[in-house]
Amino acid sequence: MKPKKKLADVSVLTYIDIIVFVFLALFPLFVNVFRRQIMAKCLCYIVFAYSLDLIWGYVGLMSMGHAVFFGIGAYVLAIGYSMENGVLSYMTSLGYMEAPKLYYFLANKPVAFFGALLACGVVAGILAAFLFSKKVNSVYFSLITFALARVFQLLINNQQRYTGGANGITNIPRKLIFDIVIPQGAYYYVLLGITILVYLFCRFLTGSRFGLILEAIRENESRLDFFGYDVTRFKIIIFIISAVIAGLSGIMFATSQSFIGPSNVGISASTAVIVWLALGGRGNLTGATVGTLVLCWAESLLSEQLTDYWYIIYGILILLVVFFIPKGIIGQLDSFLYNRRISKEQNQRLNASEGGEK
Amino acid sequence: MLLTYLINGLMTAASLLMMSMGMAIIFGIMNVVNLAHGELIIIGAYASYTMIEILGLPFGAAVLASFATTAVIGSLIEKIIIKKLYGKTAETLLVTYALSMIFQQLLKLIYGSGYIHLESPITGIVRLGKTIMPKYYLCIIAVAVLMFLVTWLLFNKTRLGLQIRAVSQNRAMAACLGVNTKRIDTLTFAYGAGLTGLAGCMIAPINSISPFAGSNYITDSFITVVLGGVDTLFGPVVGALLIGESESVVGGFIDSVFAEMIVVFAVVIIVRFFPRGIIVKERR
Repeated sequence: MKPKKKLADVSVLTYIDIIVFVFLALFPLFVNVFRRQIMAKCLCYIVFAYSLDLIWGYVGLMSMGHAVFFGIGAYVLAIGYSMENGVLSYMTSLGYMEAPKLYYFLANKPVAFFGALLACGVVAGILAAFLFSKKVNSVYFSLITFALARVFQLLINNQQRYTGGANGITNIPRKLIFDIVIPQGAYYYVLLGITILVYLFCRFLTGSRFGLILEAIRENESRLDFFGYDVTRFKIIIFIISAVIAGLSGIMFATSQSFIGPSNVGISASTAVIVWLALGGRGNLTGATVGTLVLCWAESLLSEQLTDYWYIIYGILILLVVFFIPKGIIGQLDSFLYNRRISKEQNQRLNASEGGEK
Repeated sequence: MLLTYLINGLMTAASLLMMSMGMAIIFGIMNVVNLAHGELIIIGAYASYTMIEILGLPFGAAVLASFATTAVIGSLIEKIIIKKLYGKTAETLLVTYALSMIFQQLLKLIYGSGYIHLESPITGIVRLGKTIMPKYYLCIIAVAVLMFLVTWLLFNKTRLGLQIRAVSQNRAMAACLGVNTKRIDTLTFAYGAGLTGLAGCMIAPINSISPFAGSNYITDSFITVVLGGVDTLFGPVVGALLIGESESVVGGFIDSVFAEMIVVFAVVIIVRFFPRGIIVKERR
């Protein structure tokens, strides 16, 4: 029974994934540049949602400050890429004539790119080493990451000299690793390519033995501990992977939107991605894709028209999701299909046994 | 200098204690993390603003009004929403975050998005050696101590407190012995929320209050309860003292944002060694 269920389970979601990615690939052919830019932003957020899904959906650790890693990736890269002649673009307008010494390393494009990812991994590793010791309550993990998101945002806002302050960093060139500016239309497909690669990587990771252990940690941590698995080590590894992917999504965001500011890295950014996952369904990557697409578009299209009321509607939407579709859209669909299959199989077996008696 | 910072730190600690006591009750006894905690503080502040600036009533009325408003809101939240989500951490976090968003926008629609200013009810200063301190700071410290004492007495010396502790330790057994556990849940949540609103009323005259200021206070409350622990009421006291003093001293010598960052990282490290907070009650 079990392997069969697994097969059916994968195939339906995979169909949805393929349809969504084909749709994303064809999307720019039918819309104007403005809409394409919104979709480019969505692609970055989809990768961001994958990163949270790995740690929240699969391991059950709710990181409420994931935008910190998004921000570290984006800021390290933005600083490196917008460095010209030893000075950052935002600095001249603020009256600083020389970049801090530390930033000279980042002037090299590949160094900035990989440095950004490395920084995310290192910060996540340090945090995880302290927070994932056996006895720390997992709620504390949520609370501390929440506090971290706020402090990080304050710090970005406050250290104008190093981060551009409340204005953020603008005019980030559209380059990736190499020192070549990629045209906007082509960059959409670069982003899509990265998204699909990250998706495939996550599918591979969660389908592997490692992924199964992660799900087992979510279901019953102490039992896995009895079996002799080093639960803490698995959590640390997946948190680092998740943080690096979040950093990658930050890089995608900074280069495609050519802007990064404090509002993209704080509490509201961190909780937004949690809501996308909750709506789409967590623990299967499809939910992350669908939830992000739906809410990103809803926000871009509706928030300007409704302004004040948008957040009230948004809040009510969260309440409705939690009470009526707690598993998220895809999770609900998945369990519906599963139940239908089971009842069909039972009927078949019932019919077969009745036939046998006759 | 150091002495000034230490005395100011005492005031910071007192306001932290007021803000985090409600959270310690709701989190420690009911095991619910309330992300709308910051907004409850702000609602308390706006309730007192309404009483004093709009209706022209004295400060005492404002104190009562802020306690009552948030206690009623708290009991409604518990009865309508939280009740169905006990034991589901992620869902509770989501729902209370949604509530915080709704409260922010409602406050903005009612009062506008600007900062409000409240006169402190007690003016004048006190000289302590070389340091000068507004009398209102002393008043805040006194109220914090009073709140702590009242809460301690309520939990340890009254029948209601006994029932609350019984429900938190063994719900099924308490229900068997005839305790109305649902009513106790609502009362506990309402009391925690009420204390939070009262804290908002007290800190309103010395802090910037706007519909979106809640997140300024919620992180401090979080790290206070994480550091101090929620097993007993002394946890938040110790947490508030440590965090208030270190924020004030580090902030005085370096920079307040750095101070906050250092404190958060210190808490990350301390939690590794005191996973249940510094003040722990022995459990079987």
